[in-house]
Amino acid sequence: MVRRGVARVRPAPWPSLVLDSEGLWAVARNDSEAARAVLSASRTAGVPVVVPSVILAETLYGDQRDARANQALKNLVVLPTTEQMARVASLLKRQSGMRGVKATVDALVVATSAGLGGGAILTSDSGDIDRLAAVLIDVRIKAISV
Amino acid sequence: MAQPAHKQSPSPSAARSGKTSADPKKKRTTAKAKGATHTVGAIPSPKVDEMIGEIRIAAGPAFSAATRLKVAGMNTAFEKEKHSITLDRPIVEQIRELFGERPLSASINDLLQSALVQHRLGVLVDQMEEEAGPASAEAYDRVFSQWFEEG
Repeated sequence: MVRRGVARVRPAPWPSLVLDSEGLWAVARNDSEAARAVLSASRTAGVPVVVPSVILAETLYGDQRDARANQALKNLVVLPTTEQMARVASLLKRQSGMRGVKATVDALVVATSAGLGGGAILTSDSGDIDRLAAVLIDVRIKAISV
Repeated sequence: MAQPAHKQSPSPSAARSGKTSADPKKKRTTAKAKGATHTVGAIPSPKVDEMIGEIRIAAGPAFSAATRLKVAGMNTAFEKEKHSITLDRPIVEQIRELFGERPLSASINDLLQSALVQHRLGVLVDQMEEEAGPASAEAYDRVFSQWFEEG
């Protein structure tokens, strides 16, 4: 294995980390250096790493293909989506002018992050996440690409 | 090493309420976040502001990762077990100082939950790094720059 400039782990500056569907798969497949960096920095800082429960519905197949995801989920926190989060998500969607099922899931991810006081969202779709997060003015939520 | 005395609570409901109840069927069903402040708003609708404010009620007073998770929606209605444990006095004093009037059991429960969450995350990160190696300095730079970039 070639190690290019292995880094001393820096503590994450974000107060929480939320994984969306691609974020979860990047962790499960372990094929993203960015995902390893984000998780490692989060561990060093002691910040919670959370998967909204709705992401399980979007991501999992319900069969043996989920083995790696389930292995990762054993060590992550799955956070139930509350009514309050769902209502915030609907407002985020409306205010950002987004619609559709994908936007709904993204909005729930952003609402979950808002409920945790903001933080980073590990995703492959930083544009949509940032657009939804931009509705919130006093909480910092930033997408980090896998 | 002193072993904690361990006994099952007479009933889950009594354990949940933290005291012995004469009526084992009596249940406590509510949990609420205290001392919350509205620190987050959103544009442009007052309703949005109100809603986001509500959700931040949970995050605002957060002291620990576990507290944030708990008040943000994590299931708090777990069945309880009653234990008798012995702690170092300075530790107890620090916990009381941090959590104030909050019941000691609930405070210790939160701290342990936080520690377990972090332990599990550590296990995952160790597995990932063992399998694929640690992230490079460049990967950290890319990730951190995304967090710090404006907009």
